[in-house]
Amino acid sequence: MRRSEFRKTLLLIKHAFRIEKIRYLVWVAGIFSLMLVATHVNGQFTAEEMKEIVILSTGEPGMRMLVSPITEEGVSEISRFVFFRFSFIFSILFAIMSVQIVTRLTRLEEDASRAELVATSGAGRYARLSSALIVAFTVNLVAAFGMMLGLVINGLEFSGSLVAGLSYAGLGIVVAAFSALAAELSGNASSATGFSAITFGAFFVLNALANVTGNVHEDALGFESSFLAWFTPMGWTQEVYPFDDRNLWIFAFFLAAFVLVSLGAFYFVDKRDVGRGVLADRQGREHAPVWMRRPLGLVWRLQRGAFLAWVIPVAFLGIAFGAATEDLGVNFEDHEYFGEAFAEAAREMPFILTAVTAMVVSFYARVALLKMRKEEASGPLENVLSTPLPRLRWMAGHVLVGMAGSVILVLTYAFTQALVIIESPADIGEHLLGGLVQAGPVFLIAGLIIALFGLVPRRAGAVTIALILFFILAGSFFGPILDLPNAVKNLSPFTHADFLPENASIAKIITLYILGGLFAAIGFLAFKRRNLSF
Amino acid sequence: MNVIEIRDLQKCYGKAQALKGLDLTVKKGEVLGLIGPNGAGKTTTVRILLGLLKKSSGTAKVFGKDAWDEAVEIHKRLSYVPDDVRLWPKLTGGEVIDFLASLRGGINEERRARYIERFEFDPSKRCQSYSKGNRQKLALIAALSADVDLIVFDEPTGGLDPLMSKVFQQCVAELKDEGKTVLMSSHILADVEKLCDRVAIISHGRIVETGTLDEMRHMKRNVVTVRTVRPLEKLHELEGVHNVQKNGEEVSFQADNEQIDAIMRFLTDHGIRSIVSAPPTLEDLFMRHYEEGYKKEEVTRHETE
Repeated sequence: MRRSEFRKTLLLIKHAFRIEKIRYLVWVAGIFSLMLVATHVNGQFTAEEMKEIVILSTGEPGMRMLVSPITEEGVSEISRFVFFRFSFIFSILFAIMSVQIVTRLTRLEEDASRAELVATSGAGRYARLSSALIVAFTVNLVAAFGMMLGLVINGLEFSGSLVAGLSYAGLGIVVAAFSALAAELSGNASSATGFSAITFGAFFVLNALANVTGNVHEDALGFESSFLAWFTPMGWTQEVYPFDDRNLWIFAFFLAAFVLVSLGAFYFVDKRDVGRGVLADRQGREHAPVWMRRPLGLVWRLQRGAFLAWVIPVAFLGIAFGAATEDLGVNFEDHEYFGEAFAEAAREMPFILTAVTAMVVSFYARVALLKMRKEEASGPLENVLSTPLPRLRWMAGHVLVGMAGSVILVLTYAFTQALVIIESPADIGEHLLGGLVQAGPVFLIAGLIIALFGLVPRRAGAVTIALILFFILAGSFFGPILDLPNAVKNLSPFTHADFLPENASIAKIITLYILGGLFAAIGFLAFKRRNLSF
Repeated sequence: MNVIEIRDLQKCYGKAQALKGLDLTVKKGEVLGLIGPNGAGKTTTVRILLGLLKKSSGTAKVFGKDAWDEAVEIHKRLSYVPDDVRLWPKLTGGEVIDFLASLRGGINEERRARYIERFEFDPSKRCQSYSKGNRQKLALIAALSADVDLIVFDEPTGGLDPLMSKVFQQCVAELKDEGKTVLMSSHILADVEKLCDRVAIISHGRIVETGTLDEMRHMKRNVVTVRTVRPLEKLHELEGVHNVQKNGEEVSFQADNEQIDAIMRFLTDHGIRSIVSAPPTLEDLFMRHYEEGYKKEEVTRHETE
């Protein structure tokens, strides 16, 4: 690694901040505000209420996947309680932020051929990668301060708040380093993002297992993770205990992982050509198989990678969560005070998890449907639509895969989860029905995405991500945790799909599906009438 | 019969007006070159003809049908090679050719194989590894393999090397022999000069000049380069003489065809040692419109300032 290969890194860093400052600002402001609101809202609980919530969640292995360990002494302290509930969300936010920063500054630049310009204008070979990593590191630090500020404003202790913020930034920089590695290994931005997502998925699953197999305190007053937590940076974050032991030595883990994985990425910079990945191109077919020559066949060829990348993990998660929730409540049947509540909660748990899965699946709907926009803006749509293929038939293929695919994903989860849980085959219908209920909001969101693609193609990417995040936060799972007013919660389609199918209003669910169809129709009409937009 | 008929075509993007009343016709069996500077409206015109963009006003008809309303019917009889060929990164070249050909109503294996060979194209690679030239070749093969009446090329040879440009020229010549109609927008003047029956020069959203090359040359000036015994001091005062430039003993200038007789007498009087007179190249014609275009732009800029 010669020093001259880093030339102009500083220039690229400045450039990145100039181009992306709004994006970074939104991330930091978002993390700050969420921390501020979450702490404030959860601070309204009395000590006794906090304790009850901790006991209820801790007692359920399935629920432990989504919360963080908490000490016995901390169960009724807002400083610990807020992280008990929000650790999961903040981990995801820091991870997505880091993946986005690094991928945009590396692989996306390269795909747009801008990297070549930079590389030939005197910048060193490592400049792009090192600038991306430094920018990611910096933004993570700033976000950590934002988080700290959100806590301190709520009257929490300064040094504990700072350490808490930094522990998520630690996760962020490790994820950033893995994204850098993914960017070097893969052939384009979308597969780089895919690799990063899979990496983070693995972090999450390991962490979830660490929590499930963890050691529950007496009377379910919080729990500790098992040794598995040491194998995932998400676990490291949870092991810091910023308001208790304050294990500062764990930051050495974050830094070591960041440096080592980054070095790996730099190693591969030398091993590949600009614009290509390390994983080499194989020789392919000279002829298209017959099925691929039809419009729908081609759409399937283009979409199947993303669909498979979703359906397989979703099926496995169904099995894993199903197994984790299977003997739910059994441990607590004799609990003097919560016994009955547990029995009910235990029955509802799988349906709640289906709802959370549906929320995540709305990101699949976005990816699959905005493929259309990608085809239009940077793909061969111009060429395709100059053939006798009618516009709407082209669109119909993608819409079919995006809408049906989303519903199938939710049903797959409900199905594999049910396989583990149910006692008689007759019960499977109930779980599939639960899936169909929860797929309703996703179907509506899919329709909205189609409408936005038709109406405001250039804005569709940004608007859809904002909408989905809002719908999830205001929806049935996070809305109540955030204690949002009903008027806000009602704006989210997820609010209108009750967890248990017998509680769900059939009229409401059908309305969700009909609205989804209507929005999609608007999208079709708008696309038929508009200019292609490049 | 006119294959393409455009009358008073206007296209606005928000406040910016890309086409300001464009008129153009292309007859059956004709090869028409559409040339003009960047941003003149070439690609916009082509995309409107293909029904990809919607016109703001005017008429745009292909095969007598409205380019927007009956796009699908029109597309059955044309193929198109875009300026910037973008493909699916993970698919192979062969797969893309087959797919596009199938959309155009089925593949002619014999033609496909012939064009792949002529363009020395490797269809087994993934599109992400093709260079600009190779992507262009792919689009050309896909378009040429189809049996259609009209082919539209937008800057078809930008990425091709001279050898492949030559292959392309042969292909267009063959299309012409088969009686097909070709619309070709280009910057590469050599292509247009060799291939096109007629040329339309587009500038600032309007066709500023159209005709066969002969017609255009007829009205234009010859470029004369001459050496004389005695210095040509009063040459620039002569009627029909423009742009006199001295280069050592050599003098070059542009001469109006109508005045050529008088000019030649004047030169003979000074004792000609050597003389070369050439018809204007397309480049010369083109440069004039370029310059006028830029001048006009400057004037309007001054006016607004």
